[in-house]
Amino acid sequence: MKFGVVVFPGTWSDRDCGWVVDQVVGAELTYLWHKDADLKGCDCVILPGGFAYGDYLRTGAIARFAPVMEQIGEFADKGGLVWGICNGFQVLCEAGLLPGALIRNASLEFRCEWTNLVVERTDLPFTARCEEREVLRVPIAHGEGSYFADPATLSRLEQRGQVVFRYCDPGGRVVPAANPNGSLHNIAGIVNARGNVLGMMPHPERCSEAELGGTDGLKLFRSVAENALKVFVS
Amino acid sequence: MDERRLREVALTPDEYKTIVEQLKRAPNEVELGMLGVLWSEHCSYKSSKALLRRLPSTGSAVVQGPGENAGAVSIGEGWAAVFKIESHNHPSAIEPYQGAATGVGGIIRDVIAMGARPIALLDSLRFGPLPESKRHFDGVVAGIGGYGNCIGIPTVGGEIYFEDCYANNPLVNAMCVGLVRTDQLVRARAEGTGNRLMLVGADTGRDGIHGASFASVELDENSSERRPAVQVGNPFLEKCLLEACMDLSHTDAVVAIQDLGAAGLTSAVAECAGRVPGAGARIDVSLVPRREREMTAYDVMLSESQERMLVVVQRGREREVESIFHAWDLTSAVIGEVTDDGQLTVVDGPDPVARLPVKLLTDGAPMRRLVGIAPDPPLDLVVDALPPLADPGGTLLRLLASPNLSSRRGVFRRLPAIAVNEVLTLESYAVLDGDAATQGLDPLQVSLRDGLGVVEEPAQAVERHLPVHRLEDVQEASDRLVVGRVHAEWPAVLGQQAHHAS
Repeated sequence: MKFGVVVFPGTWSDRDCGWVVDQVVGAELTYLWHKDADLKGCDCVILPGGFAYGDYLRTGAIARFAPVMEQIGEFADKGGLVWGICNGFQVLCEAGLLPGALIRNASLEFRCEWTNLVVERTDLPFTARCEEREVLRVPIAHGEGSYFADPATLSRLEQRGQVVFRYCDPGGRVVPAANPNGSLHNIAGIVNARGNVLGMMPHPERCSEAELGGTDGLKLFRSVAENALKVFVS
Repeated sequence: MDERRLREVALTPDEYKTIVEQLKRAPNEVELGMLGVLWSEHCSYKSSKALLRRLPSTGSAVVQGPGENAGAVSIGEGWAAVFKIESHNHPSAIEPYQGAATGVGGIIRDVIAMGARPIALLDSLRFGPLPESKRHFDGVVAGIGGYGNCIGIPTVGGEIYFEDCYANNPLVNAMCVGLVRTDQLVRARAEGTGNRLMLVGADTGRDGIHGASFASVELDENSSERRPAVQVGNPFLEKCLLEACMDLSHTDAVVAIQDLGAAGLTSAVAECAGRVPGAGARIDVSLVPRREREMTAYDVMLSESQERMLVVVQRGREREVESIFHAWDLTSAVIGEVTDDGQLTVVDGPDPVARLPVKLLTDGAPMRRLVGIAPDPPLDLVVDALPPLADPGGTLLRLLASPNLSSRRGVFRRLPAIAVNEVLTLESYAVLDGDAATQGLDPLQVSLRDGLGVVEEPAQAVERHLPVHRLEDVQEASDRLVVGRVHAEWPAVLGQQAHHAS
């Protein structure tokens, strides 16, 4: 199982994601430079957090044109696992690999805090180690993390069960008070129809070791490490 | 000498006299500007150096004391913690967001210049009362958070207080902590005659000219006219600069790295040369990459454009360094070389521009002896003579609601405070009015322990640990009690590599 972590100029969660993959999970790791159109035989590509190209103009709007993104699009089309975290989610939406968009937080302020996420899909390679409707505690850190989609797209997402994570209270109830950024339907993470491209605003790489205040994020990394191959088989 | 011109460069007539005596001639315009910025309080510490010298700066763990871009202390197992704290008060008073942001940018570069990877930011802030000082407060908090977040360096701690005296003059102190292998510490010494001086990072513009001198004059109603003296930050560029400088550690072609901060190129070159006895430098301003047209040599030498570094490179190995910066799409240009004449010589193509002794620039400013005024003696409160409070609980709640004692959560949630993998902030900043309430804890169940607020189980804990009928305890507590930091742990900053190295 080989993970590739994409590095754009301005990406900063690359080393954290790499640390978890390499040092905590013990999987094979390689970094993918934005200028290189080569995925180096990775089984799962992670688009980490940060400010790709400074996020000037609009989050993810410049990164989607990077040479590496063309390869990632083809890789996703073939069923390869693509996992966008925070800025990576924004890039995937801009690139059209996921529907909808991430807009400015409803508070109009940057928010850095712990959130609770209820897991609504456990049949995915990203969440296979989670229990049905398990509540994960994962921190967010973003200014533009409010998920938005037009009503038709939103209802299609809901009908097809493409919402993977929703902000909830510690008891797993999806309530407005638990929504940190104004996301529609409390959406924190979605998957494409095929189930191989995941985007999420919270940072699982920041809660994969007990010293950092939680290990819920590690479940996702372990899920991918252990289940990625099954997807290719099925 | 025209006094108005002297005021523009923030030099006194006496200082000008000293310059003429030392040079045995009158300085030209560019030289006057260069001396003005380097002799500013901001660069020379001419008023405060005598006091700063009294601070402890030696010890068995001290790897690098004062005199470099940042200090360094050994933390064991071959690692050193590099840190720097610096104020950015005046710029933040004029333009709170950019003033604070560029303050953060400056200290991050100081840590990078030591060869260390920055891993944490901290801030010490003072504002006038709210809501009047909301513009300062909001702008500074957003500026700190915005810059640090864009680079991916968490703000792990800080302090904030509100007092009338800061209404027009907020204090904005930012600190950066970095990690480096002790044997890979880089020092900003311009060693080796003939070695090349490379300017890397952002192009040079007119922004921030005389920013350092500006920091050394009184703020008044005309201060907003000084806005061009405030710089504008580009954290994305700084992030690329950071990574490129980390990549520099893979080559031994680099002799020294120096941040361009206050007083820009003038200060960077003079300080780098000034650390090596007898060393000088020769630079050609026509080789400096610019972002504006028709800039004069004066503009280039005094510009405080952000996100620039000076790199001293072994002669003949410029291409190696250039290729590292090129990979990050950053400009780099050879602008001069190290000399052994002890002079800072500036030319503009074929034309001579300035020639000043390095030591006159870095150490020539006459020290000022300030007369201190003894502070008022502390109030002689006889605690037992104070009347007992009619409503201790209500008083405590009012105290907790006051801006200087209340929860800092509103600030922290706007900062990238949650740990990245290199920094451990032990579970902190849960709050009385928020988290504690949701956890079913009574706000009054707070007590003082080790100077920190701790939630206790029984409500009587307040009575036991914080006797509110003793006003002085509460007042004394106010600078120690971190209300709502439920888990009594200081943010522990540990390098994970160091942590796992054992």
